[in-house]
Amino acid sequence: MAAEKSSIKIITLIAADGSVFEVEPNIVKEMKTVQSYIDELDQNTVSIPLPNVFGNDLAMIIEYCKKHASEEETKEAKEEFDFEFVKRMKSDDKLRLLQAASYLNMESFLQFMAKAIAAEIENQSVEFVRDYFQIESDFTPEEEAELRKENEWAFK
Amino acid sequence: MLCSCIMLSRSTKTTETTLSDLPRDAIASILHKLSGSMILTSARYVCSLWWNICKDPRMWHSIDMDIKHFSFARFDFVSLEKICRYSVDKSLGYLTRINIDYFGTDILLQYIAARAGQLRSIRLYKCEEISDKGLREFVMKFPQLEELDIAFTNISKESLEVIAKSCPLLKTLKYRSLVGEDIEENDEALIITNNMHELRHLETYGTMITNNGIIAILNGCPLLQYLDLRSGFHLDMSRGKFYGLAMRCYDWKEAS
Repeated sequence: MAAEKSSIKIITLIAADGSVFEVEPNIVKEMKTVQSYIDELDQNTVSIPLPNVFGNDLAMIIEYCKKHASEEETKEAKEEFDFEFVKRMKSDDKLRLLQAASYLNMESFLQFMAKAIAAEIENQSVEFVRDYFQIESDFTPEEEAELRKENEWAFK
Repeated sequence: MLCSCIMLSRSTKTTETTLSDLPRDAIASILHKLSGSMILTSARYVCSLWWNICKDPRMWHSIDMDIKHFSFARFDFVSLEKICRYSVDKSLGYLTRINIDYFGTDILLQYIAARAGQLRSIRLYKCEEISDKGLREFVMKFPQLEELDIAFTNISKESLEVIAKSCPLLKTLKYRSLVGEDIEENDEALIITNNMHELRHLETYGTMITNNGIIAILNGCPLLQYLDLRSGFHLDMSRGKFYGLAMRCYDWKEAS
């Protein structure tokens, strides 16, 4: 309903590095963070700074949104696009895009990235996962020993 | 689209900060997509935040107790059953899907039945300790079951009837074949067509279904997409008959 009230024709998104993207309102529909911002305005154009998203990442997200917002594309074409979209990405890219999805509050894109990341860490060791996410274990050695003892079958 | 590409060079430091700051909901979304065995053996030991997220029973909604995740070189049947019960307990009723290779028993099925009210999918692979009766009693408790995969298990006609009547929402059914002395051609087809109108995927081995049985199934299960009746020696695949059947399948595919 809010979208109908709004008369905005063009939205300018400004990434953390100053890159500028002009998009139509239907492209940002899924970005709830952006949506809540423009719902309150009554003007033709609007500029929205997104200080937590880099230009490269925003460009990819917009590309994804354009494909998925398109009514001309078939379901198969969108699936094919999704497959290629994550295929060319490094794990760092995936994590940054996941974070951007969370910041922009894009539920389906967040789930899509989470799925791609889950597929990479499934069946991997604790050490692999820590390395992948660059996480340091914050268990004290005593705590960790306790956890392992409690479930010793997991580490046989 | 305007795109002035003035990218700041990102230092390793920035990337590190970014990655470690993944919000809890984003991490939870990833963990929710992992198998129960991955949560059990690896993910929850990553750090204290992950440990806490993994306490959420929803993270244990899917449990894979299969040989791919738990090799026999490391686990005997007793440990596997213990791990399985532990994971089921952790799911606190949120379990929707479970996979058990070899070590399943009637008692374990009873344990799961009492604790997994939301179960939608179960796969039992070569569980010789599960009896025909044990299986019947189990499925009777799951009217919302959508997938039953016992592709390597023979079942009685009585069991197939109980499955068909107890689980009207079944989308996938795989079993080996019907066994018993009271079985006649197309018994299976009749039970399936009369009850399983939601079926998408049917797989059996050495069935006694005939060509007419297939046609009955195609009529009774309008949503069917996959049919595998390998080694069905009651099927007439002679040229004329086969051609007729193939045409019928083609029409059915076109219509659906």
